[in-house]
Amino acid sequence: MRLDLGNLDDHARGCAILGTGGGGDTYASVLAARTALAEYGPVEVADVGALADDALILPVAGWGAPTVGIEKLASGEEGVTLVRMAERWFGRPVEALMIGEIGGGNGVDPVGWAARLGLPLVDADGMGRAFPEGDMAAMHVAGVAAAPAFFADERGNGVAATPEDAAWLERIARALVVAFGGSVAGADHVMDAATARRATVLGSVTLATAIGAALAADGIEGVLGQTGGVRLLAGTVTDVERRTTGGFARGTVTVEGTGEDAGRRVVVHVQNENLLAMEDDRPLAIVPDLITICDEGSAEAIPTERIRYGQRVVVLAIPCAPIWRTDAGLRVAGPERFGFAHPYRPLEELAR
Amino acid sequence: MNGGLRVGIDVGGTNTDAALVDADGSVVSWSKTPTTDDPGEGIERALGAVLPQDRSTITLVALGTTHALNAVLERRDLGRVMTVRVAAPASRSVPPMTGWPDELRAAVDGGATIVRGGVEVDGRVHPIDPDEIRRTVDGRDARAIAISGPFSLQDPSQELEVAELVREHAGGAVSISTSHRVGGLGLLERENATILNAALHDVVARVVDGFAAALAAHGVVATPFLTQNDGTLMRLEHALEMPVLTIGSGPANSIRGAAALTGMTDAHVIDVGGTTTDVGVIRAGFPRVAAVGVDLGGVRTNFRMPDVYSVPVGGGTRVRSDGSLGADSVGRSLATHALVFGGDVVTLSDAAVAAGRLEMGDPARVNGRAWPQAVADADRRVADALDRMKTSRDPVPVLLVGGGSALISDALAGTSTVHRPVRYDVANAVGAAIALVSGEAEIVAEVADHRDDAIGRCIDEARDRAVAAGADAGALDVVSVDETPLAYMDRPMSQLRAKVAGPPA
Repeated sequence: MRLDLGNLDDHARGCAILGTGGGGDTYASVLAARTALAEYGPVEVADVGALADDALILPVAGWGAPTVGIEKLASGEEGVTLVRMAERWFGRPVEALMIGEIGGGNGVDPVGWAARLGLPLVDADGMGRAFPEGDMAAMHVAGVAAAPAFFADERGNGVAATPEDAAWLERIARALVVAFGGSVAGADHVMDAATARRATVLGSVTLATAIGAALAADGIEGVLGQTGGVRLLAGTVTDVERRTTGGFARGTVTVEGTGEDAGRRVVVHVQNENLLAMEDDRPLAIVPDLITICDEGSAEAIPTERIRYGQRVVVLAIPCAPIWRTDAGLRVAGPERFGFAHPYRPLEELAR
Repeated sequence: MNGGLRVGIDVGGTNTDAALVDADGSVVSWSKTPTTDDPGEGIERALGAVLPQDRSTITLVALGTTHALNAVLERRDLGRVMTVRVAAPASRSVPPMTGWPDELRAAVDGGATIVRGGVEVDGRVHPIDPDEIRRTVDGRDARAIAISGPFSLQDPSQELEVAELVREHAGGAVSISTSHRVGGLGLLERENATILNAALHDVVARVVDGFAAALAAHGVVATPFLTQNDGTLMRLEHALEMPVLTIGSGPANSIRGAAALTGMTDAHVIDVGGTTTDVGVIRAGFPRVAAVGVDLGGVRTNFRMPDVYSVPVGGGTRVRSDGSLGADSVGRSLATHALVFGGDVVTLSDAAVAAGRLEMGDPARVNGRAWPQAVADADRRVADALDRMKTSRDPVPVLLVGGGSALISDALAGTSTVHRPVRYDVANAVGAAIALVSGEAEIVAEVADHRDDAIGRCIDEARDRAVAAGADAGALDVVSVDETPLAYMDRPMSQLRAKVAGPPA
């Protein structure tokens, strides 16, 4: 598959669905990727299995505050700086970029970087969705070292770091975000293709693009068909409660069913992303499974900050990548990590 | 209210409405005339229909106009704009006007450059290179210039510095729009709004000229104003600097007029026209502002617009052959095409006449016929739009205005009370006539230690803008101060918005 001007919007729509309400707005990311694709041409999406075992793969993502991201836009050179630093460090060429987080704008930015570098994107990512913390990555669960990590700003400044583990990666990244003025591009959990085959969420890029294409063609049904997801409820948003604590936007969204779902009521608990959907005292879906609130008319995912009373929505749940359902995966990104008392149970059992 | 008589004029797509209002806010006279292609001509006719014999009793004339909105939607009469973004190397990944519809871009793009500089969220300012800016201006003949930069809501000094340089170097008559005065948080959307603002200068200049000529023709010497997006006034000189702010003035005038005619300051306002029904909200006397960006002619912007939801329900909406309500309208042709006016198209007006909701045209032409489904569809669509605009499930008071408001039931779902003001059909012109002058400011600031200072600074900026718009500096009230904390910042920062309003000086 190739990502080009023809399917970029599909890819971005799919990233928004996989963003589960978070992961950042895709607006500026799509414009940047479109500009780069128009100038440098399409991006190959490479199957990890087709790369040589020792091919060096660089997972990339943006760190920082969304507010800064919508004011200080990327120069476009950030990916180039990251790749040059990594190549100097390893003494061999980087053969592909990888999307660190497929959900939201972070799933779109690397498309433009790859176009500019003339590198392929591997058909994989680190999450299969969006998560708020940097250690919530499949590579971390699989035991891939966070170090070395590389950071770059829009001016060509670069930093190489050797964090001891994912927690230190997060600390160092947060400090650099402040030093660089609120946002920084990063690459970490660098690995070879042999490692990527077992330590990443495979197929995410083709999945995102297929979701977006199915959404454009068949709406919600298309999304469910591509993801094996479940329609939890169709209805009207009747209450939105928000508060900002500890740097996170927390709250609940209440949806009351209409039509076939009349009389039902689902409350979605949010912390940047949608994490838990409850009907009365019964969970219908819980993190790390994906919960996405879509506009009833357009079927497009609605970001958390744009949910408001009166919207007609469909609440979807999508099974997470298998790695998150392992004991190690649940320790990193299970319900307990987000402070929920409910134990994890797969969507397929809960929403039956 | 200055003691004298005030005239409000609202130029809509179909009709130009005018109202003469006395010091108590009572409507003395009113008129509805067809909108003309030449702005001055329609304004002159509307004025003539409502002016009293003694012109000297008029103290203020306020004009709301849809000319700027139509210019953007129809890509007509727009000026060519040179854009200077002060940000490089940041933001080079998305050049100005990326994602604009091709025709609109072709009409407006007068060259765009991203020059070195820019403000950081932590307050650092990257220096500009004056020679680079002079080189950018050289060889371009654009008379309208848009200047944008990151975090200019936090620190506008660099946009102002560049504006000064450009003005000195370009010489002659250039109009310069700086983004911190036009839009909100989000560089691309703010820059888009700023470019449109610059492009609309000549459009609004023509309206202003036509307005001034119409006033002179009638011997009116009262202060002229244009109305803006929040239903308040701005002096003509100010309007020439901020033309984009006239774009949402139509719905804003209706909302303010409905409130004034009923004496209510908190309600939902339903304005039923010939083609669409607009639902808006009045809160503490002013239209509620849209929370998210507004798409304007295919361009994403973020200047403050009234929060309005529109549905295809109006006097000219066609009834389908199966008796249900369609989505398209006969528009201006209602007076000739509807059954009750001798035409052969079944419209919502015909269905409403048959249902006994209103009298219009020749009721005999719908004798024995009925379209109950269409009438029910209209009520349901409007009730649905109302529900979308509510913020909770509680029933709300509703003000029903507009020429087509009789089409809609009094027993609308989700309402506590429904008020139909006496001069419901010219509520927009009344809204213009009774308007105050306002100023709004939006800044981003650290709020840990100096929160009160920051709020004070924001209010002061809003006051300065109100005075620039023509307000009496001694009589301004603070209407609202909103604070939105920003997520994921390393120290507490907020987006602050202040609005002040008061009578004209």
